[in-house]
Amino acid sequence: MTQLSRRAALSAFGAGAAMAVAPMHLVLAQSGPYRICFVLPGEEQQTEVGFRDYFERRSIEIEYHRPAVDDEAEDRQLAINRAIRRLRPDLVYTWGTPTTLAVVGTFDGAYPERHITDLPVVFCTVTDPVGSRIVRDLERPGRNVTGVSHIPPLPVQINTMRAYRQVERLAVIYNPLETNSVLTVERLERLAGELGMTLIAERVPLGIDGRPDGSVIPDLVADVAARGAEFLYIGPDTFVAVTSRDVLTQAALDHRLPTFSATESIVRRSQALFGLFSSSLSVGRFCATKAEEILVGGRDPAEIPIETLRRFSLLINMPVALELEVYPPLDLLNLAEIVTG
Amino acid sequence: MADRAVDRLGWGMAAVAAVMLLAAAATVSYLAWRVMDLALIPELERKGETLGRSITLMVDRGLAAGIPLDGLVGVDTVFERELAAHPDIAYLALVDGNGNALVHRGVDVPDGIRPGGEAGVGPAAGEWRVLSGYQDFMIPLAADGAALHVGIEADLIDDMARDVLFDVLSVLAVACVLAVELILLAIGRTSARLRAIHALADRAAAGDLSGAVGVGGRDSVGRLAAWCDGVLAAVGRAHQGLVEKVAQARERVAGDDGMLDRLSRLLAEVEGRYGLDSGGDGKAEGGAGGRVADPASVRLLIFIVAFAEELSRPFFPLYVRAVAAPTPWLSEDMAIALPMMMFIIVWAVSQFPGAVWSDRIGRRPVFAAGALAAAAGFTLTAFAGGLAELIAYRSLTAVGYGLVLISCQGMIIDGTTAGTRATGMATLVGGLLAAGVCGPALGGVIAAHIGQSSTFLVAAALALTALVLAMAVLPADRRTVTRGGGRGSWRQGVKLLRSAPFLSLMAFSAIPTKLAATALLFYLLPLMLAGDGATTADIGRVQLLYFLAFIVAAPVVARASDRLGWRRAFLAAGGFGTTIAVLPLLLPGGVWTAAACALLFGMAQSLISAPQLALVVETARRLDPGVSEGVVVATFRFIERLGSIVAPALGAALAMMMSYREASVGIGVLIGAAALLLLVTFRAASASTSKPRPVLEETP
Repeated sequence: MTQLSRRAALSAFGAGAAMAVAPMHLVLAQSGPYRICFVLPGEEQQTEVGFRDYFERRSIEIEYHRPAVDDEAEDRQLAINRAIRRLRPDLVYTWGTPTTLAVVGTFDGAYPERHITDLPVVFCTVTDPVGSRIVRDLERPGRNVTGVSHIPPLPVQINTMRAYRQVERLAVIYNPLETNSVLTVERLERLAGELGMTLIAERVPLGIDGRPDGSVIPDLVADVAARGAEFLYIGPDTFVAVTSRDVLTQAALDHRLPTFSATESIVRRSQALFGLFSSSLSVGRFCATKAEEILVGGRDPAEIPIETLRRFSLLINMPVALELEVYPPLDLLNLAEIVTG
Repeated sequence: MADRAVDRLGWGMAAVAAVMLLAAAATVSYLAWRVMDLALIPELERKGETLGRSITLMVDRGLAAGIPLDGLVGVDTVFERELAAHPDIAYLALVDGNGNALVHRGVDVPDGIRPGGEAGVGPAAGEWRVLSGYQDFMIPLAADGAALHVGIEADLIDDMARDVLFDVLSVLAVACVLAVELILLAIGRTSARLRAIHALADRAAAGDLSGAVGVGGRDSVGRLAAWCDGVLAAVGRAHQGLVEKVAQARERVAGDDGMLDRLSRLLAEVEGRYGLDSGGDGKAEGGAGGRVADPASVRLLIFIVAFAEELSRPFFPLYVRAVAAPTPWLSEDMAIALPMMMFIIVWAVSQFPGAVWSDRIGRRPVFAAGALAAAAGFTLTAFAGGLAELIAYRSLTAVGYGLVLISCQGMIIDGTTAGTRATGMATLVGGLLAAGVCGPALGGVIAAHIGQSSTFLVAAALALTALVLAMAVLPADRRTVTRGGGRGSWRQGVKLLRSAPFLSLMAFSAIPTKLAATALLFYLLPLMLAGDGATTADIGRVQLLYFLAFIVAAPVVARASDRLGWRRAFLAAGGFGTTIAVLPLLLPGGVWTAAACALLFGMAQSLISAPQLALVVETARRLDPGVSEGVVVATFRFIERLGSIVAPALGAALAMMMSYREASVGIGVLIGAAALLLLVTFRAASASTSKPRPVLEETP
């Protein structure tokens, strides 16, 4: 009897000890708060909301900082990276291809004095990390950089577009200064050939300041429409899809040209007909899981694969569809979110 | 007389049981069918309704987004996809306020679908109504007067119910045959023991007091047997006492030769009169009834193995087609025919060594080896990966089936005398026929539910069951006697074949009959029906009709032929009947024409079966009165197999030139031609007047 109770007492002690150890372990793992530096081209958007939301739900404490850059600085890139270092972050978060390239450089052209090489960097919303030479291999980045791509694979985009309406002549207007845009047009050319489509590609001409000239966009649209284009493809091109979005979509509407986009805002806030993309919230959350692996899990970014979300959102701008009288098929409509107004 | 009484009792009980079973099962089936009928209709309607509502939701979403009714895109795609996924839906239609079908897929939309067409009386939304052969369901859409219509074929429900009814009827028929089988088994065991007692009593009445019944059992029959054995044992003891007393008396009267002689003569007279033998213990022949297997057990064993083999009948050609990869040098039809041919060849050939082994080694070991080989063959067939493998595995099954059959025949021969052999063989053939009735019908249903490969595994399990059962019920005998026959029988057979009448009988009746059965029923019919879209269960049912027609008509025909003494006429009628049987195939009507063909064909074959065997024996007797009946029958059975062997090849050859349907008709015409040739060439000048002996039949 005494033997038994002694054993019982011992095992109770054992269990108690185990229970005492468990939270200790958790506390060790969460030696937060972590410092994350957001490097963004503008204000915080839905992506950052998703990113923050993820860590809040996981009860991981994060301090968010943004580098204070002197707008007067001669070498803006150097200024940004100096500002990042001053913040002493545990991790750097970058948004978009140009920003990410400015922070980390290319895999074969990064310099410790100009780029961030010694801090882990997680990027999001980069269209083509390999094509834009951020990393050599999506599976194993091999640098202190990993992240999330937001664009559906090009064949998936084109198939979705063709599910809306049969296309034989496809137009694309792009900014030749954006690496990912040039890459996208090259791929589009190949894909169009495979699918028996004709691609009408027009680049936005550069002005005397060496920057793309947005004023000619209505003329470009008129031109491709006159050449018989049935659909206008708007790629993940910052100048075309963000800066010039309203001019572009109004021109397309004027020439009764349906538009498809791989980005969300041009459909939701402007007048593109429809689009397929990852929702920014989901991209931000997915990006946060990568950051968690590095901060909490202690993994090396060089070993964390760069991925795209598997599920995409379909968004149809119904007023545009009604105005064009190009109605979505029921199956597509059934899957899509509709912009009504 | 006692035999007859027991047999009558057995058949009476079987008949009563079958009728009661049929009545009970029919009632239950009818009730179940009614329930299903009641449950099926709402089920289908609910399905149509759910589908309609889900499509309506999609369409309404488009309308709500502002798309005009006539601008909706992709409705046709949705309709096509849903119709493909739900074959029991007849049509889907999107109808506008004026009753015009804007989009419509499936069968033609029936008239009267237009809403408000008749004096503003619109169809009631949300309920089913009958529109010229269709059940129509209407769901209003969110556009003025527009509606979605879902249609179900009104006959579909009847069709489904009829299918189920046919399944139920097949299973009922099979259940009855099975019930009769089992009752006969039970009765057979008792009647065998009663026969043994009866035989002993007969011998005792004739003054032979030797031997014993030697059968067990704790029931009244067993006790009666034990009592008989007790009495006989007492007689034996008394005899022993008498022998001892005579010996003592001899010692007392030693020297008196006259007295000694008288004593010896007295003892010999007593022993002679009562069949006693002072040299032995009086039990030398005892237990004869326990050493041989009783016919009822043999019947059950052969039934199980034959049933296993028959299971694959409805789908075997289809199975070959599915398993065999296309071969450049072999047409598909030939590829299907090959395993069937090999099966029959190997089966026929295996009979000869099988007969020798079963005589030398014993019935039980050969049966066991056969059942084991069959089980292995079935199992391997289930996993066969090509034509060559299939042929090999079917050959193995054929060896097994052949060994089983020959050992069962041997057991029947052991347990019967020349006088009762026909009855014994009839028992065996009854088992084979019953398997022919049950196997294809159930095989088709089983294959439809669990797949064709798995059905072969069921067959393997059945063969193993027979093996286990054989070890339990068959006596472990060991025969060293080689019985008469052997080479001498071959010579007799060859001599028979040299005679023109016998040869004509073989060439124009025996071979064509078997050829027709194999080619039509087991080769062409399944392929034809499968081509028409019939299920394996349908094919099994059609084959069942053949066996049912045969099993019902054959005894009637046999008696009629015996009474009238007509043989050749029946054979010719059967041949022409086969031609008539294939004629329905020329009519349109799919399964029903095939069913009519099978039914008529069964009747035609029944005309031939018994009279043919009788005529064979009679012809042989006339040619050589001393010929052994066994040799005649063996020769006949072997020669007629040639028909089975060439049948698949001939069927395949014909099918290559024309359709399966036309090939079947071709076979039917060939058989008719053979019957004509038989009439011309077979001169039964000395028309048989003697009353023919009872005839053994065999499954076709």
